[in-house]
Amino acid sequence: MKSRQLLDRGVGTVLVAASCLFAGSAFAADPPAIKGDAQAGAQKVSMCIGCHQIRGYKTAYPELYHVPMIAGQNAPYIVAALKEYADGSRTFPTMGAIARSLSAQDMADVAAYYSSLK
Amino acid sequence: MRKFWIAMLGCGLMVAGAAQAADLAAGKAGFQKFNCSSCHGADAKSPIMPTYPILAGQHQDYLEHALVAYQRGQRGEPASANVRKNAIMGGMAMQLSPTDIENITAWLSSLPTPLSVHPGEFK
Repeated sequence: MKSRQLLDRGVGTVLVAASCLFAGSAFAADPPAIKGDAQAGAQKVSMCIGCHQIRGYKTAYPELYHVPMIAGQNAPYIVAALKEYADGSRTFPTMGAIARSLSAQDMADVAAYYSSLK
Repeated sequence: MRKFWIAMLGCGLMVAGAAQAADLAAGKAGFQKFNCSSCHGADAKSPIMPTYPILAGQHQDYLEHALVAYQRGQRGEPASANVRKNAIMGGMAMQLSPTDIENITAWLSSLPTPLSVHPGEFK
């Protein structure tokens, strides 16, 4: 990609600032997001617990690393990540399969639940 | 003589440990230098948008993997390679060397965090 050459430090700063502004305005223009219900979400995490709530749990071969901590994470980020897994922008076999099984309401509920855990 | 060799082994281990340890100060500087903080916040847990993640205190190896996945996505590697395609993070991640990634993620994972595994409710 040409963006690598473009992103020298000075240009990078401007691009990042500009992209953040752009993302901000796009976000503001979106219709009201589906509201997540943490209590409903607590009933929908049976597929999440077995990896994300096991201390020290790691992914499987060929790339071994700890699965991310998601309790306390921002709810809108959790929804964004699930949508990316569902649409293939992020690829990971288990997360893709699980994300595609969730409705938009399920994603919002699960995200509300995990972000509520402190 | 045996004590001598044990001492030598100890010295060797310490040197190896120091050589492998990530440079937290360089990681903090890199987080600023590469403008990560302009979106994720200087403390890495106050992003400018709630659609961006809290990074502070996250597992280092996961953060490393995420950055490598953004690099793969930006290079157009196949979906089977665990990629992440994201216009902003793809461009950001491509600027980072493996050493940058190691140092920045080590610093991030050392920070105080609101994140947890939270296994408590399912004991």
